[in-house]
Amino acid sequence: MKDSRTELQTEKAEKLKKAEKRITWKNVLFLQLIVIVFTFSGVAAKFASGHPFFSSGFILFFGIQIAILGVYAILWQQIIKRFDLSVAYANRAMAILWSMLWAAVFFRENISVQNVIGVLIVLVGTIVINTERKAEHYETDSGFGKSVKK
Amino acid sequence: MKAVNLIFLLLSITVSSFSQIILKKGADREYTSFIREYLNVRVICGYGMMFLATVLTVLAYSGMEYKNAPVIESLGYAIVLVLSFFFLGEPITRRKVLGTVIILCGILVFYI
Repeated sequence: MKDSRTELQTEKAEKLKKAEKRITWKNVLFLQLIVIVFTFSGVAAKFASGHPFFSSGFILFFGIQIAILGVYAILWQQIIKRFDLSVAYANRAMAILWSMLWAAVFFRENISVQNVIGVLIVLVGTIVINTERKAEHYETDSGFGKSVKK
Repeated sequence: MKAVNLIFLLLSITVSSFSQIILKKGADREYTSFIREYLNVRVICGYGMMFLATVLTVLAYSGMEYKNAPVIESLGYAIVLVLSFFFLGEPITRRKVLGTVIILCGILVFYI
């Protein structure tokens, strides 16, 4: 076990190092793949909800949902190291695109023109967030939840 | 959608937003091995909370169309943006706010 002060310093150094990096398209692609994995957990959840609570069908699909979330969890921990949480999390909005596709494919729910326009707007918003320049970020220590005060 | 579904969904969003903060705190630390990146208090707590949120989500979904779920979940983007400022010191930049507003608009258009 490292003592907590050293740990805090490495934490800060890591952050500064990361702040110099820009968001790369490779990381964004990796992030989007994780979002796709995540949306499949929603599909399993919807399948589960179609069965009576704690019936065998429910347990099966709930189990699948948890398994998918397990894979997602492992991947998510790896990707949030490389992003601001607020940026990585906003990327999950693209789940609306994938959910719309799965809604049509698996549940035969209707997709309207408006749905498609909405998805395109979300895409624009996600791009705006992803094109953030990170360099200037950590020069000011904003946020008072930070425990780096000495 | 019934009121009870909405309550489950709102609870689920709040719990999962907080779990993200804890997970990010866990992810930013250095560990001696790959397995320790996962077997530590923060990550286990974070995913425990996410599991709880999942149960709440399943309860909520039973009364609504599947494609509507991301709409209400989208409140989480604004919540995470604010929480990550307070607990992680991530700046709330103009771009983040603008992007989040555009995303919320898109989701609204999708929904209405």
